[in-house]
Amino acid sequence: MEILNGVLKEELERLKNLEKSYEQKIAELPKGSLIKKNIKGNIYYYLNYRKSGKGVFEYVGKLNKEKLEKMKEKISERRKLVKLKRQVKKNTKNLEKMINGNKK
Amino acid sequence: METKSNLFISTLRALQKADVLNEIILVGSWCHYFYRIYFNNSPEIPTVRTLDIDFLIPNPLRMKKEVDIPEILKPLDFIPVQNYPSGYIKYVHPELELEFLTPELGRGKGDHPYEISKLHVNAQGLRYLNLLQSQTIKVKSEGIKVILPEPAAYILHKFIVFERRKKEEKRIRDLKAAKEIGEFLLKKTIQRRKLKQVFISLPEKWQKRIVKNTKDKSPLLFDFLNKLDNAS
Repeated sequence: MEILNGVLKEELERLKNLEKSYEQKIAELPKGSLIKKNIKGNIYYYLNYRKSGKGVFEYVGKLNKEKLEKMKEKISERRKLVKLKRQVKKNTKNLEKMINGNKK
Repeated sequence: METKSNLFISTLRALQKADVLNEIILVGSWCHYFYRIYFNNSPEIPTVRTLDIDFLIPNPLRMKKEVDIPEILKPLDFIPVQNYPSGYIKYVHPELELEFLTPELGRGKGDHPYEISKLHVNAQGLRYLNLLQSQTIKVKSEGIKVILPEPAAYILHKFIVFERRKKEEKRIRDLKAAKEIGEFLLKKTIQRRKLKQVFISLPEKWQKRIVKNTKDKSPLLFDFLNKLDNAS
């Protein structure tokens, strides 16, 4: 039991560090969905997301094909990391339950 | 989300497909997964595994092909996380972590990792890993061929390095695994021979340390190794 508890605690520590790592990476990536607006014949891009319950359009500007692809990649990378972070939180919760259960 | 074992197998498959798995050695507690298979599902092989998969990159690496490991790991949702200030990078996933190690030789690099440019990764240099790279076996299962340390080398290595572990829990876990697998090996004639062969190939200083460390922890292994030590 001692060894098992050691493994569980080690995993809990790992998950907490992992959550921080995901948060750092997420913070470096653009948030929201990319919205295209045609203004007087020019195409401008905006990032659309919710902040304090309100929809926000953050100006990105004109993007050429290459920059557009990069932006899309970053947005999808962020979405993936958010999903992974959610999984980490779920695993942490389950693990805490197990550790507390073992203590009883 | 994939379970740990599924992710482990998917990772090995991806590395095999890229011709990397036949160049690197699986070390650490995930070896037990394959040792069980190697010894026909023997219950003596412990199943408790940690969440980090450790791969040993031999030093020197004789691989000719260049492979971008981070690119292989990306579709499996492993992301690189760099340790500051050492610069060492490991690959993390909600279920598992992947680390690369390499034997530290000579004066070593201190806290700094070794750049393995052929594989686009860096590896943490650790002492005594040459013991694991010098004696290996190949195990095939589920279409995967993996290189592992010879079980005898694996347990002797554990009896050397456990005292270098900073965390008491890890020390206990290392010792328990080494004792259980080691005493299991003593029951098998071929494995006894291998234990002897690996042990006598080690520097005298290492032999003495192993004998000293088995004394209280495993009387069976101590008796066996002490006789070899006295004979050499």
